[in-house]
Amino acid sequence: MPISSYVVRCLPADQAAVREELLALPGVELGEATEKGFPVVTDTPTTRAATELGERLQDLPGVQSAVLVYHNFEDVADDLAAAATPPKP
Amino acid sequence: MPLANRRLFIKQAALSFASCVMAGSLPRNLTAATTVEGEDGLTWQKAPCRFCGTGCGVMVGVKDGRVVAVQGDLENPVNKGLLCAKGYHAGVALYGKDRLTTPLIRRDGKLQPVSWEAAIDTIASEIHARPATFGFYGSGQWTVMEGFTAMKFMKGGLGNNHVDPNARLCMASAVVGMITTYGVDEPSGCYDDFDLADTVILWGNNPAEMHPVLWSRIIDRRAKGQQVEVIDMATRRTRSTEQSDHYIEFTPQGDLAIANGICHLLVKSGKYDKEWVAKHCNFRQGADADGEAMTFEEYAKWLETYTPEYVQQVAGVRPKQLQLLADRFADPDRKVVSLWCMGMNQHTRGTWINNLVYNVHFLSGKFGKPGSTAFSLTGQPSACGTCREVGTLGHALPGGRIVANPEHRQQCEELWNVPAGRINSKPGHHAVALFEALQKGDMTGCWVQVTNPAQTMPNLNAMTSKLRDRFLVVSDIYPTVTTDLATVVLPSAMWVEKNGVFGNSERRTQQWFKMVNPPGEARDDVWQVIAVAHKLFEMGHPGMKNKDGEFLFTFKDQDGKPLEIWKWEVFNAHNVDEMLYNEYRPFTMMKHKDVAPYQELVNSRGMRWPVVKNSDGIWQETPRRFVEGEDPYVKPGTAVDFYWGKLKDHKALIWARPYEPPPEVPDDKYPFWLCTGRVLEHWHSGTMTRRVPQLHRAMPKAYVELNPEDAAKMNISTGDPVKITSRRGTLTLPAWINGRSTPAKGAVFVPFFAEESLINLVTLEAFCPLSKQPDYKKCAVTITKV
Repeated sequence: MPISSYVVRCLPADQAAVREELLALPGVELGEATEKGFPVVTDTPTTRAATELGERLQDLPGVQSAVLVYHNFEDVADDLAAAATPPKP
Repeated sequence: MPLANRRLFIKQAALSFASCVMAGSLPRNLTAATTVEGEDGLTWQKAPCRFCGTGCGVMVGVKDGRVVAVQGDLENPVNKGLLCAKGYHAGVALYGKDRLTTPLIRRDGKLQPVSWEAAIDTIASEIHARPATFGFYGSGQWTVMEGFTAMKFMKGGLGNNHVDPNARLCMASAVVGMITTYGVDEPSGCYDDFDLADTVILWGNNPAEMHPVLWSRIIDRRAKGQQVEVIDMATRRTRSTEQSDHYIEFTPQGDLAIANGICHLLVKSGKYDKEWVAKHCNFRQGADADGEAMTFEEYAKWLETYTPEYVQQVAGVRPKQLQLLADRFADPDRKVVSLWCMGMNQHTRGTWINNLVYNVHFLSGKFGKPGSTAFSLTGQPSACGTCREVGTLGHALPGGRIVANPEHRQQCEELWNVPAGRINSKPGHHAVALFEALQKGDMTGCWVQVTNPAQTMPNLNAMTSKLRDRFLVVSDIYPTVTTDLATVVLPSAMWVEKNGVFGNSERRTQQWFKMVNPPGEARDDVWQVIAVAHKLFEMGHPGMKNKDGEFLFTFKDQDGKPLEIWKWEVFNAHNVDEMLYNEYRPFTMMKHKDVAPYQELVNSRGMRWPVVKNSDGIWQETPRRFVEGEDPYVKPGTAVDFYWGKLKDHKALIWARPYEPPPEVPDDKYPFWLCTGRVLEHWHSGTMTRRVPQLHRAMPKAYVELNPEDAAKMNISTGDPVKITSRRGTLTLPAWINGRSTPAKGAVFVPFFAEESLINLVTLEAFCPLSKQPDYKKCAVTITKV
């Protein structure tokens, strides 16, 4: 946890290479590809790792866009609350 | 369920949802219903996003009384399942550890916990003692009913018009622009036009960061093989520039000249839509809102000043660039959408530049047609739905009415069931005037809800430094620099912790139900105002009685017995939002801004007003106003009908508004332009988004962007502390060079989200004389490496 899912867009010609790149990333699973790209789910131990993984998806060669569409943080909700206070003046 | 199985369950649900977004179809369990039990075992309900004026649909997942998941709402036509970074974390923003959970009163200099009864008594006593010098500063993040309740309390109760919102700081120029151009507020077009345009022109806005889902709606058309050209007109290169086809950099305030320059070229070449102009427009000249008549010939002569050479001189735009813009508008087959936001609205001639962009679209006939419109993007989630439609402005009343009009006052008195003569005819203070009056002591108190003026007003030392000496009530969800100055702090319910309605940029009114309880003793802002109103009623204040001598906020149950909604347990047990909405809805019909019945909103993903029952008995929304076949109020045979035209002739006005430099420009002592604004990760003053760890980590602190050539000359590198100083104040920030944006040479940019770096100590409070909206985009500063 948290668990997120993305729509990862790429051209059909790049799909094989993108699939390989995606499967090499820890915490990533792919759904069935279409001509637009892949549905992807990520499962990471921390929210920091989830954010970094999302950025890596976007930066993979051949990926046109990686758009977050679902985010479940039920197992880390308390940790998030404890962590979150902005700096004071 | 064992944890491992639960993870599998959720991952399957997540992957299934992503597949559906890709295919553009609904998951089998997630029908058009507004509440569903998900595959992942959560209860999902719809709501519009808490943040910007796009109004994306969100599905909020609740488990054990907490928001634990978010997904984009596939059924919502605004975003079709997509959200931006802030939207995904709106749920997390509810659970910061320093959430306000108890009322507080300042005693011996410190805020101390008190009961609700004590807090309400204290506020009511102050208002009872000094009712005429108490103001209400509200928000474009108010729900519709929060704004309506404050209006009824102040204008329909106390007879006090000192109600103004923070939307004065974001949308007032767009409002007055529309009213002076076509007689009534809010856009004609809708988001569907973005899907059809051949060319999209950005007039000083950065939608890639500020309206990201709408931006992706435009840019993703390219991935589908559609041609859509984007022209970015700006004073700095941004993420929007990266995906634009043309970047046209202009000198601050030069937009006035550019718009006139385009019109000059259209008229000179004869390549304007003569028929459209003759049928739908009149011409007007003058500096104010009324102006004087002008002929087309006089307008054409007036335009002669705006040659490409003159435009280059004042705006820095090359003649070829101006011609490119003119060519787009001159092409009769090209569909063109203009978009703008704070670059045009936070402008000392904001009303004028709004008028001028409509001029360009009217002259070229690119208005009121699918894919061709001039569209004002709203910043806040309900600046339209609440501030503009409910009229929470010093001069206004609900439904497009004004306090100065005796018929309008009478209509509101009747709808509110208050005695004739209750509503004051004198307009109340606009935002800058309100805070100036508080500063001087002419106003003695103010209630602030859902906004943070001690961070967001311009020239803070002149606007807010004396607030601690006034009776300041602040309703908020987290401690802020404004609660730090308060006499009374009230803990508020946030977003899906209460029932609510928002209205977005494209006139879509969207409803949601309360899904989780607020923490501790936090309570709805609507209840807070009603509770104070009832305490004043008990104290005998005549303004808290309606015409029948009953309490101002009287709603009855099915047996005709008044509901004691000033008692929290009674309020909480009923949908008071729906009761207030049903009272509000008739107000909206006079100016053909009919909002949908409440149940229609419950059963839909919002409806664009005017919503009128058609001949089949179906409630029908209006995608495009003033357009025959879409707007039910359009006179048949007119094609486009500006039925609220200022001259009562069903036409819009083309205004001759000149170029005028800003009041403060760089000089020898203060040689740089300062522009301020938002960033993708943070909403406004950061009180919510900085409490989301992912967003805070992504953008942890404020900075000053410099042009790399300027930075090199001053030997400044990224990370170096830089002092930014104006005639009003100073601030030191780390430099960021060649980051996500690049200002023009001689200009710097600073975001305003960080409360430890108050850039508004430096900004200028000069405002548009017509809209009263301040200009946060341009003042003069000096830059020094520390």
